[in-house]
Amino acid sequence: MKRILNSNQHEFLKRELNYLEEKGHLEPQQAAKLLSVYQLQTYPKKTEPASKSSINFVQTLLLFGALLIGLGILSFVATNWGALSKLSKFIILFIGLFSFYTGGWFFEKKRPQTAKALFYIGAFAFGAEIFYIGQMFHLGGKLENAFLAWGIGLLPLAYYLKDRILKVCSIAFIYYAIEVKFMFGEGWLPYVMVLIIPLLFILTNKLANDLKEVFLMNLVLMYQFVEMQFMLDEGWKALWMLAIIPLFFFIEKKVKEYQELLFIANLLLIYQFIEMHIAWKAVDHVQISYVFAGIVVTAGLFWYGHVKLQRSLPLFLANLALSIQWVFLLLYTSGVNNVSYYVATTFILGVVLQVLQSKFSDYPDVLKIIGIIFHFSMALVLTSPYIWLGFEQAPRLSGIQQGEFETYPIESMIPSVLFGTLYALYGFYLVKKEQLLGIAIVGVMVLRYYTDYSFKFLDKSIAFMIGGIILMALGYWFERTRRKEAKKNGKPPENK
Amino acid sequence: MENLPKTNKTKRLLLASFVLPAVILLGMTVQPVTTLMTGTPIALKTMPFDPKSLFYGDYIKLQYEVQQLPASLFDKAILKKHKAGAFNSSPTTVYIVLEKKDGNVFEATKVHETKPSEGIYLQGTIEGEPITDDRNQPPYFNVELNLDTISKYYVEEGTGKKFEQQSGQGQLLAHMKWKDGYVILTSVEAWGK
Repeated sequence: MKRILNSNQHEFLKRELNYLEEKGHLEPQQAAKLLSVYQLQTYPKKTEPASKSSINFVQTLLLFGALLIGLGILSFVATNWGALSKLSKFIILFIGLFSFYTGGWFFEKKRPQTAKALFYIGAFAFGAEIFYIGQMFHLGGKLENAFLAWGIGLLPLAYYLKDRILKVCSIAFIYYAIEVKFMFGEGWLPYVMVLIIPLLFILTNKLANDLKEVFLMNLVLMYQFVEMQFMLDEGWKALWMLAIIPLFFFIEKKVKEYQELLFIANLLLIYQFIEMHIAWKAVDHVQISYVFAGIVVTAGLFWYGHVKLQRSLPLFLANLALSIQWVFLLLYTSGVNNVSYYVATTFILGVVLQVLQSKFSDYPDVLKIIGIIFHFSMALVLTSPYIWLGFEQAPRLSGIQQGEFETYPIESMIPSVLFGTLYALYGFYLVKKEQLLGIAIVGVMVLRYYTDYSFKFLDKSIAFMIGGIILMALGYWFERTRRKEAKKNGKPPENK
Repeated sequence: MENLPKTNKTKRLLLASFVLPAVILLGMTVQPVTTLMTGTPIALKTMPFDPKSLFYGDYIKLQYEVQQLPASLFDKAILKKHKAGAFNSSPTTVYIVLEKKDGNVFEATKVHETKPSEGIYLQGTIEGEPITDDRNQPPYFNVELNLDTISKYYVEEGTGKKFEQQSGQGQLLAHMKWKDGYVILTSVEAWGK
C-alpha cells in the first residue's frame, strides 16, 4: 500500500527529489521512482467543498434576509402608522406570524433553508406583535415583560427546529427578564438571585447541556450578582469577597468550559478588591496600615504569579503596577504633600527598576523599559529649578500653582543645573558604551537647554536654524551609533 | 401535518410552537380588551413629555395631577406613619379615591390605606415625609402610581411634538377606561384652560 501525502507534502517531496536528481545525488529517473512510493491524497467527493460553501452562502443570504425583514416588521410596529386601524395592524401581524410559521413548516422538507428563514421571520413577527400589543393598549412598555413573553413563546419552536440561534436567543430573552426583574429589582428582590442562579445552572445542565452560550450567561449573572451585592458595597458586606473569591477559584477548577476566561475573571476580582477596598481606603482615610496590608497581598501575588503560574507576564505587570502604587501611597499616607518628593521618588524608582533588571532575567526587558520611561521623563522635570525650590515654595499636591518666578533663586538653579549635567554625563557614558539610550538622553538634554536659553539671546530665525542643525547632527550621530551597535551585536544594519 | 414523519415528541413541540405564541398574544389582550369594553370611562389631567423607545416607537410620558396630592386628603393613619421627620419610613400602599368633577374629568377627593369597596380609585405608593416647597402652600405627597398601563401613551412616529405644543397652550387630558382598579388609556387630547 502506498503512503499517502497531502498535496503540500507531495509537492515538497517532488521538488526536493528533483533537486537531488539534478545535483547528481540520485540516478536519473530515480526521483520519479521514489515519488511513486507515495500517493497524493485524493478527495472522493471533489465537488463537496464547493457545494457546501454554496449552501453556506445561500444560508447566510437567507439568514440576513430574514433578519432584515424581521427588523422591518419591528420598525413597522415602532412607527405606529396611523393610516391603518389598530385592529387591522393587530390582525396583519397575527396572520403574518402564523403564515410565516405555516410557510416554514410547509417547506421544511423540500427547502430546508427557506423554511428556516421563514421560521426566523415568524419569530420576529411574534416579537413585533408583543410590542404592538403593548403599544396598542399603552401598557407602559416594560421591556423585560415583553422579552420574557417573546422568549417563552419561542422556546418550543427553537427546540422543535433544534436551532441553536433560536434556542440561545429565546433563553437570552428570558435571562434578560430575570436580570431586570430580580438583579436590578428593589428591596429583597436581588437576593432571590441566590436561589435563581444555582437553579439556572441545574436547568442548564439538564436541559441545555449542549449550549455553551447559556452556561456563559449563567456565569455572567453570577459574577454580576457578586459585583453588585458585595464588591461594590462600601460597608462590611464587601468582606464577603474574601470568601467568594476562593470559592470562585474552586469553581473554576471544577468547570470544564471557559476555564481560562473564569481564571482571568477571578484574577480581575482580586485586583478590583485590592484597588477598591485597600488602595482607595488608604486614600480616603489617609491610613498607612492599608498600604502595609496592600504590600503584603502584593507580595503574595508576586509569589503566586512567579511560582504557581510559571512566571506569568501579565500578572507580573499588574503586580508591578500595584507595587509602584504602594510606593506613592506610602508617601501620601505619611503626609507628604510636596510634589517634588513624588517626582524624585519616581526618578529613583526608575533607576532602581532598571538596575533590578540585571537581577531578574525571568521577565525580559519589562523592568528596564519601565525604569527608563520613569527616570527619563522625571529627569526632564528635575532639570527645572521649579522642582528644587525650597520646601515652603515648592508645588503641592493640593492645588499646584505656577510660581511667579521670572528668574529662579540661585538655591534652586544650582541643583537643577547640576542634576541636568549629571544626567547628561550619564547619557555620555551610555554613548561611550554605544547604547542608543545614551544618544536619546544627550539629544533631549541638549534640546531642552537649547529651548530654555536660545529665545532669550538670539533672534528667532537663528534659533530655529541652529536648532535644525543640532537635530541633524543628532540624527547623524544616532544613525552612526545604531550601525555600530548593530555591528557589535552581529546583525547587519538595516538600511532604511 | 402528516407530510412529515415525526415522533410524538416533535409533533407536540411543533404544536406548541404554534399554540404557545397564540396563547401568549391573545392572553396579553384579555384584560385590556375587557376593560375597554366594560370599563368606566374616566379622564385625568396630565403634564406630558416626548421620548422614544426602540421597540415601541414614540410615546408621551404621562404624569398626572393626582400624583401630587395635598397631605390634607390623606387618612390620619397614613399621616401618622408619614409625619414630618419620617423621611426614611417604609413605603405605604395607598388608594386614591376619584370623583367626577367636570364632564368626565376625575379628581382625587380622599386617600385611604385600604382598598375602597366601591367607586373609582387608583392604587399607588407614598414614601417619606410630606414635601413643603413653599411656606404658603400646604405640604403634599408625591404618589407613585402602580399602573404601568397609564404611564405612557404611544403615538405615530413624529407626532409627539404636536402634543408637546398643545400642552404648552393648556393641559392634556388623558381619557381611559377603568375596571376594578385596572386602567387602560384610550386617548389623549388637549383641553383649554
